[in-house]
Amino acid sequence: MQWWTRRRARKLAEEQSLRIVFFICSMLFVVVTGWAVWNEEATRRPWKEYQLEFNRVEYQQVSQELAREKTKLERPDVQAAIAKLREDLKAAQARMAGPDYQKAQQVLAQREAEYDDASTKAQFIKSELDEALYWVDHAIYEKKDTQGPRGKVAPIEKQLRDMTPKVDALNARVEEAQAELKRFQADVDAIEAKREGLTGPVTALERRLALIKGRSPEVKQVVVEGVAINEFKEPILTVDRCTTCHLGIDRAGFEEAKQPFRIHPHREVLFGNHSLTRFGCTSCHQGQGPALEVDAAHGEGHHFERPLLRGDFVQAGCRKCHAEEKELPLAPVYSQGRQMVEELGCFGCHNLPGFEKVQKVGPDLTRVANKVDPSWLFRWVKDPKGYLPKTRMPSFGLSDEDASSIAAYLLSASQPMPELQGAFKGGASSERGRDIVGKVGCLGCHRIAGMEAKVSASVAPIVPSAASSVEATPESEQAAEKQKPTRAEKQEKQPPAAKPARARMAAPPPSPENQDFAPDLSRIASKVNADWLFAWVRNPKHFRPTTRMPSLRLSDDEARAVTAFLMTLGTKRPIPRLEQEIRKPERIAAGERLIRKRGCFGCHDIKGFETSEKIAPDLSNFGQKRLLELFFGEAVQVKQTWEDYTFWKLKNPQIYATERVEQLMPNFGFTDEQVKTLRVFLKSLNTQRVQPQFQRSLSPEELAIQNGRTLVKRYNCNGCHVIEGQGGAIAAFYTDKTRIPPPLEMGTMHEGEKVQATWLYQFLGRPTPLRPWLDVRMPAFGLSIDEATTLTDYFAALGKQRFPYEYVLLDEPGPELIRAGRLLMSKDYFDCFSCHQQGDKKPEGPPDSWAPDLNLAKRRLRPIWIAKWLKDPQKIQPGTKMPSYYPGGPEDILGGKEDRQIQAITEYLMRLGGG
Amino acid sequence: MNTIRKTLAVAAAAGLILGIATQATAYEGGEVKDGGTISGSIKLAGAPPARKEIQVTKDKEICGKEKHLSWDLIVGPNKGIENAVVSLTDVKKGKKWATAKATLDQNGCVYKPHVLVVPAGATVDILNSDGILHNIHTYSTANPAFNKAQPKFKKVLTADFKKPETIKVTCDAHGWMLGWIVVSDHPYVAVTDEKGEFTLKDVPPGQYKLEVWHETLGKSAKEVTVKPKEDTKLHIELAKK
Repeated sequence: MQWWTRRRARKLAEEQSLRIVFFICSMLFVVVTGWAVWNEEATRRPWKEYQLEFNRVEYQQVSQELAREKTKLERPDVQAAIAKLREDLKAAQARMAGPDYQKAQQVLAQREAEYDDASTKAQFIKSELDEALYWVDHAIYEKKDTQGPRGKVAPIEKQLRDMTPKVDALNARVEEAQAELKRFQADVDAIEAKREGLTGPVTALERRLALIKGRSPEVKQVVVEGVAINEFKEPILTVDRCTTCHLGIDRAGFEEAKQPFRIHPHREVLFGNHSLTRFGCTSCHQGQGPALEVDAAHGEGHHFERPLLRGDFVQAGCRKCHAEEKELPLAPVYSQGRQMVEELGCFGCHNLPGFEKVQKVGPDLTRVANKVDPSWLFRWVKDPKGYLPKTRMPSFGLSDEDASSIAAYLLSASQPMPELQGAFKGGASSERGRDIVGKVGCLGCHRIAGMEAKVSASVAPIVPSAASSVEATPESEQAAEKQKPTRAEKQEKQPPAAKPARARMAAPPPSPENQDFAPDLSRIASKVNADWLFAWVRNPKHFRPTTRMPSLRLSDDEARAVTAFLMTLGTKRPIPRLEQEIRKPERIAAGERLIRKRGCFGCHDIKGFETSEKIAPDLSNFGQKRLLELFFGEAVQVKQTWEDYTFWKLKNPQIYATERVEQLMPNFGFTDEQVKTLRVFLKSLNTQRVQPQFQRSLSPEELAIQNGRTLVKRYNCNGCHVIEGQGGAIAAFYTDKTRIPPPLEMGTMHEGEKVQATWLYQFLGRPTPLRPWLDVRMPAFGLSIDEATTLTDYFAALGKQRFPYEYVLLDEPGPELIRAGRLLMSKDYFDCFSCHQQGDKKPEGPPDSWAPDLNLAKRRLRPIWIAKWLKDPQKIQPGTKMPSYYPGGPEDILGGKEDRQIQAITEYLMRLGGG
Repeated sequence: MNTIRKTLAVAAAAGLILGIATQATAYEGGEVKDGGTISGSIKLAGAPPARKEIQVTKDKEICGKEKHLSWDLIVGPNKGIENAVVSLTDVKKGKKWATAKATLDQNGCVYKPHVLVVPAGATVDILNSDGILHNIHTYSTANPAFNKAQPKFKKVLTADFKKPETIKVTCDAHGWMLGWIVVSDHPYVAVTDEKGEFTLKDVPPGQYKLEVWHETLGKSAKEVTVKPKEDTKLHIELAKK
């Protein structure tokens, strides 16, 4: 500072020179400007590097392609073709310049002149006619004599009539000449087009190369208008600049490119339905759309609420618009997670959007005292997996005391059983019971140790395949039998991926294999009381109307035998002094408190808790929970992320328990894989909403299929029937493949196409035996009107029957046809009733060689399907006992015409059986 | 997804290779000089079971004319097993086998013969001598399986069998009916007679694997050496499983 004051003292300010200061400052400005430009252009634009890199990659690709095209072009035959075309072109052009062309031009000119003359003349005549007509009108107006003017009109009209065809003929001649001229030009055009076809790819590629070279880096952005809405339900504009770096996202040829240039997987389907310009990127993937630096754009820095959804988590993004759909073919993990939630009943304790109307998953406990042994109940409450390793009931980690309290309350609050019609007396043969259980269909849902599959294949539908497994050596029957399982397994493992990518109708995801649909009965006698069991197997709905267990229409005798057999499985192990303990009022009171606290009523109906509220936190925004909202307790080993928190919460809820904070969530004993699947579903739970027009709603047909699948799962129709190519595992318990339940939806077999809707509806409501040779019975599920309608709609939709209408006989199609039908089916021809029943008329031989009652056809089958079936039964249901009669119908009926004969049989069948 | 695609691709490739392989090892027919003979008998080890009578439950006036005994194991005198199929499995060259017609008759609701051997590519005439409704239901994998009705008016039905395979044939209208069609691409196949004996003639000298198959006793194999113009005797015992 001092030197400055000294300087000032020396000289007056006005006299001092500031040159140096000024120079230094200017230099500084120059440098700063330079730095600013450099910084702006180079260091703060990482995306530019990506674009340049992408241009390099694309340039390379295109050059390679160009080189390939060029070599193609340089092949001698192509060159020769080009040379020939060049010659042709020259010739054609020469022709255009030649005398022929000129001559044609002259002809045209001449004809045009002739035409012009004639048409002018015609115009004049028309004018004259107009004038004459005017004079007629005028005479009428003046009320003068019209005869004179009228006389003039007629000759002029005649003149015009004569003239018109002449003009037309001349016009045609002109057009002819024009066409002649055009032909010259067309020759040239055709040759040029051909040449273009050969050299075109090369020029197009060259043009592309030039374009790539000329590209300058630029920010690419999509402005998405209102997929998202704000708190006030106003649409928000969002900007996505992701394609600035992800340049190959929608471009063929980048399937193998390294990121960020790789093409979007499932591009055709996903971009086909979600155009980039309408949906952008972040509406599905999340992340920070406008950002242009990698970490910021992916939203993976700190404090950004919507980081990029990576891996399977991206499937969570679908829910926003597809909440209505249960199965998304391109989001299999999400769909499976959703299915798990539905099966496990998470919604019993947590509020979960979309599950408001789903029934509680556990059994009704209001009559439990009559059903189970108290000691069993105590052990079950304490450790459910100890009795049923595959049960869905979670472990609550209860102490002995707590378990007995809960058992005490449940038993004391239990209601008396409805009156039995004939009690279980015992004395029935357990051998017979075993036989019944093995045959009537119990094994479609339940497992019993000691009653194993006879064929080790879990599914054995015979699917016609162009299998290339050629056995060169003759195979014995046993060896073939042994081979079947492996083949069937392979078929089962084959994905539904072979179906078209527009896979909205794709087969539902297979349910988890390690879970049985219904309880394993291997130790049932240690659990239940014989009287209850007898009443239950006789008619489960009588005991509990909402149960999924169907009635197999067992007679009292059969039910007794089944009960006798089941009561041989396992023994009761009474716990000493438990009976006294659970009668103590303080135990019962403690049990009630515990049930209230742990929320048992979330899954079970329990007397006294009919109106209790859900005990656990609302999960409707769980996917968006911030870290500070998650309670990690003292679990320092868990990484502080949403993903890790959720993983451990599901895997072992107690991990977050501290001395002061209890964790009430029970342990479901999930595997890591299950946890990850559930986590994807949980990630999808958020309260972000989209505009209504972006919500994907289901068409009536899709809804019918979705609702139908839900019911098929609920009642485990798949346990016995092959539906949508899946299920039918019960087949493994029958060695004779003609004795298994019929497939309903498999290959070309569609139940909805086969049977009439009304019949199906009635059959679902009250099944009647159709196939007398089957031991396995179609049980009565006691479906509600809604459910039976839903299933009927489902099969109709799968069978592509848009109008499930009734078939009414309009009038006789001619007695001749009916007579022919009757004759064809008679003993002298097809002899249909050799195997088929006809009402009370049964065929000869044992029932296992019979076939369905043809008197039912009229009410049961769709006539169009009958015709299809008669044409080739093996095509619809490979392996069926029904042989094909066509081609090869008799020559002496209806002129041997196949179609007429089939029509005759169909018409006859639709009248068979009277009524 | 990827693994599934891979497995599919592998399976397809394997199928292709298998297809090529079977084609490449196809049998070649021609002249046989100094051919040897294999003959012998197939016998049952252990006590022969009694043949059970088959219950004819349907169309008794035609099917029940004769008494039928079960075919699953027919043991003749000296315990010889009838209807066993003896074949060479690894023969690549040998005598020619003309693609001829073969006949399978349904007579008295029984397939005659019970085991029919036909050359690959042969056409089989299936006769309906009974004049009642039968159906021919084949359980084949290499050849297309079919189930065709043969009503009264249809006296003959023809079927082609292109690929070597042993095919079970049943009639769904008459549950007891059971027959076998053995399709072979070479002529060294024989069905044992009621004494359990068989002969394979004009076998080019060399080492072969001889296989015996029987519908209830299954398969067993044996090495056999054929010398020029000599008869190689073989006696094989099959046991009940």
